[in-house]
Amino acid sequence: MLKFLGKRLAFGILTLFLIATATFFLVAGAPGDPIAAKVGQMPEQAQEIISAKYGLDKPLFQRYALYMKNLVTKGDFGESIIYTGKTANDVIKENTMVSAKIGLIALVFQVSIGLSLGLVSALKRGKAADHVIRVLVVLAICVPSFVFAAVLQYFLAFKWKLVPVFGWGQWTNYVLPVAAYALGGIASYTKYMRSSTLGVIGEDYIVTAKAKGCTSRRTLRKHVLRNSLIPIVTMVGPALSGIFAGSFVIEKMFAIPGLGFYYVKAVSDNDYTMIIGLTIFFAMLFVGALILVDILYGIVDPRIRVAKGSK
Amino acid sequence: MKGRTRILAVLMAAVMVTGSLTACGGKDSGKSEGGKSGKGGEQVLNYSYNSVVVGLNPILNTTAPDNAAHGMVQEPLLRNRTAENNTNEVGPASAESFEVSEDGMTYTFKIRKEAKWNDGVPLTAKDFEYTLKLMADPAVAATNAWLYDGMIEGFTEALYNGGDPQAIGVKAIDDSTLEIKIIHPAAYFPELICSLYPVRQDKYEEWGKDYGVSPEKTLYSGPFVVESWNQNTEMVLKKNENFWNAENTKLDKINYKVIQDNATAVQAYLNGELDLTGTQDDNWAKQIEAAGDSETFSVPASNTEFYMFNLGNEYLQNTKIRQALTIGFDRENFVETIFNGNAVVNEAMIPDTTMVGDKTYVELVDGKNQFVKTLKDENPDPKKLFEEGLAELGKDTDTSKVTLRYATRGTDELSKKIGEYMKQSWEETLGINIQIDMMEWNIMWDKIEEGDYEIAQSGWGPYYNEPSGLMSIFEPEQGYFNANKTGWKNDDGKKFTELLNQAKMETDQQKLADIYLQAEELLVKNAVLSPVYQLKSSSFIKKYVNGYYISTNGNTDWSNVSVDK
Repeated sequence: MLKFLGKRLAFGILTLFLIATATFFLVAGAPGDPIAAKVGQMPEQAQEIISAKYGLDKPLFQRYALYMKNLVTKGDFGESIIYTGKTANDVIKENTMVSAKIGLIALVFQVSIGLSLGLVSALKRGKAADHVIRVLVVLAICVPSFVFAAVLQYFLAFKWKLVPVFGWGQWTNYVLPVAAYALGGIASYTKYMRSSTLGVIGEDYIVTAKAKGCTSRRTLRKHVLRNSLIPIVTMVGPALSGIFAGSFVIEKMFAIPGLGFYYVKAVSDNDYTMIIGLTIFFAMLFVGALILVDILYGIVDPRIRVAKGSK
Repeated sequence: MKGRTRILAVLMAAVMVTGSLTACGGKDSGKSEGGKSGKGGEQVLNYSYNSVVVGLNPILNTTAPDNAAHGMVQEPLLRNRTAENNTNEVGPASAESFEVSEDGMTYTFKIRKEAKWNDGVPLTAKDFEYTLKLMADPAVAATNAWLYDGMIEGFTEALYNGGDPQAIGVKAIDDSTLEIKIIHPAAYFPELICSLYPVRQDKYEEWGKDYGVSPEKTLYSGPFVVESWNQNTEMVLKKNENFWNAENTKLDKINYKVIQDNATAVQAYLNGELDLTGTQDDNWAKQIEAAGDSETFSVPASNTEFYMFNLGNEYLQNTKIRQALTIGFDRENFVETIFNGNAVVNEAMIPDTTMVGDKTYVELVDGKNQFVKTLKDENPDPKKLFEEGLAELGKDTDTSKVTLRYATRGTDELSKKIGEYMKQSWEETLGINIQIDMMEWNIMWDKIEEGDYEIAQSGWGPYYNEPSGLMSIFEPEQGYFNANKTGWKNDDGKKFTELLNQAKMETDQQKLADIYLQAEELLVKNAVLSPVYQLKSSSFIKKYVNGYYISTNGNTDWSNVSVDK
């Protein structure tokens, strides 16, 4: 197990390094100029002075070497070109938790509601409940979250004045973004849970369990649920890393101080220190989440653990 | 273009009186009714903007939202403020008065004795001297430094040619007297200096890179100080008790919200969560007007929008062909179709609101600068003009064999709509082929820089309200759109440079306007560019907000705004 973890970790670090390098050169090669994005239009000479301040007049490889040196030795993503004096580290520190709070609450709803609905739908296969759930699921998957958000905002906040239209800081501010964020996920989890459960129900060992006299409740808990959760674990891991990134559209709509704004804005501004910093941060979370999933697999599914151990 | 969105943003900025009394910490007894304002109740204004304040260091952060925030928290020498009827005036701020020498090249500002920083230290002429000298240092890379290039004595040498920043023509004679020497008389210098927000040496050096990054590490000289700041959502400002005019400052607090989504801002406004908003959406505008508790301001933005022609192109080198393109579409119809009438047609490069001294330029030249109109009157048939142009070039006069590329300024809906409209118009009127190149705005600027375009949509918001603010960008040697970008290398271009140089030394209002008229003729009548429109912006302000005005140029005088609910 330790050896396995060590190997995964080493690969993770290599992946991160490659991502950082690729992002650096992609951003540097992309058309557009962060200085133009920063200051708008000004005479060329004046722009050159500002470029020089950020070292953008230096050769590409020199810039790359410097960037990597700071990253590896100090863990410093570098100062943003647009947000004078701020680093990607600052932005991550200040804004990640906001996105994460919304994302985590939404994820809890997604998983709990999604799995229950999926299970119900599968167990009542072909009955009215199943049909209703399936129609709703298709609907929820088709409606983009920002449309749902706009509808919620219009009715709950604007028409009925139950919650504020926008803002951050009170619990009422969570209602709309969490709901908007959760909807799509609930639908996906329902869908996956349903098909996964149906797959398990048809397995021979369920028949065996029933045959040896297992109560249906016990069959459900011990055999069906446990086995149908395996594919879901694969989904939850990356989703867990995704919550930190936030949703740009939803954060924009409700004026929430999350990380999504910085990421999207950095790309359109060619703010390369910020882009690379945030990319590495997300990549780290993602790689971490995948390793976590691997470990969880071992817990949920003994077969995998055995297979690894026998190598 | 970036500039356009910024200016738009300014106009769309929304002020809102906070859910008024409820938000005032229950000081007010009549809070449930929301009717009368309690005397002694806190005056809170909720303002909103659609993009973030990047930083509070006035030397390094100069985007439009930054400038709006600096206007709230810093006190320049003079203020370019919007006044009643949405007009502009440049008036005293931290300088109570100023004098200009007879040759128009030495300005002496008298700083108020009572002017102070928020920590109680007096705001002096030395602070402004320090600020300007800092800006002249290329290592500082001040974003607005270039405004004083070719203006303040010695500034160009220091900024670009290794000269000594300490040697520029700025001197604090004593704590309350600041002398600035400029190299040519420029009646717009007072307006230009309105964007000069001071920093103070001791703290600027002590805090270094951190200056203006957080509210604690920023010094304030204006009517408000920043209490807390969450960059992408909210900045809370409260009254600066040490401000020289604090006595007459009415607001106690401004909640500066960042709301990027227009529908959100409008709904919040309608629900009483905001007090000022703007929208381009007719449906929302009607709902707001129906509510009846708002005043509507509709003001053209200072950015003018135009098409640029690359004179290096085999067809576009010909004046008649460019002129034919200039008059080859209907501007009224354009504005109606694309903007529902929320824009002003431009038949001149210089907007009608532009001033020369104390009169408008249009008034001084008696409206003779409407060169697009002149062109239309002289050439009833644009297609014929185009054919004549082709003949002059010795080419086949069949216009259908001509294909021109049109670069959009972005890939958004609006750019698409404009591109399609122009393609259709030009193809129908002139019989030519237009190929649309869709591109992001920053990529378009790259292409223009390399001269890799034929026709491009462009625009510019001038930094001061005088004709040279717009014209100088096309100056073929040093302008932003220099000859390398525009291909304007013919004799007209040289004459244009001469005229602008002549204008720099001219002090007579009428003569100055006449020089600009000649220059504009070269630019517009000879169709180096084709002016099209200026956006108009509708802003809505709740009736209980007083003293808040919107004009094309200029900043709000925040000490004058009040909330009288």
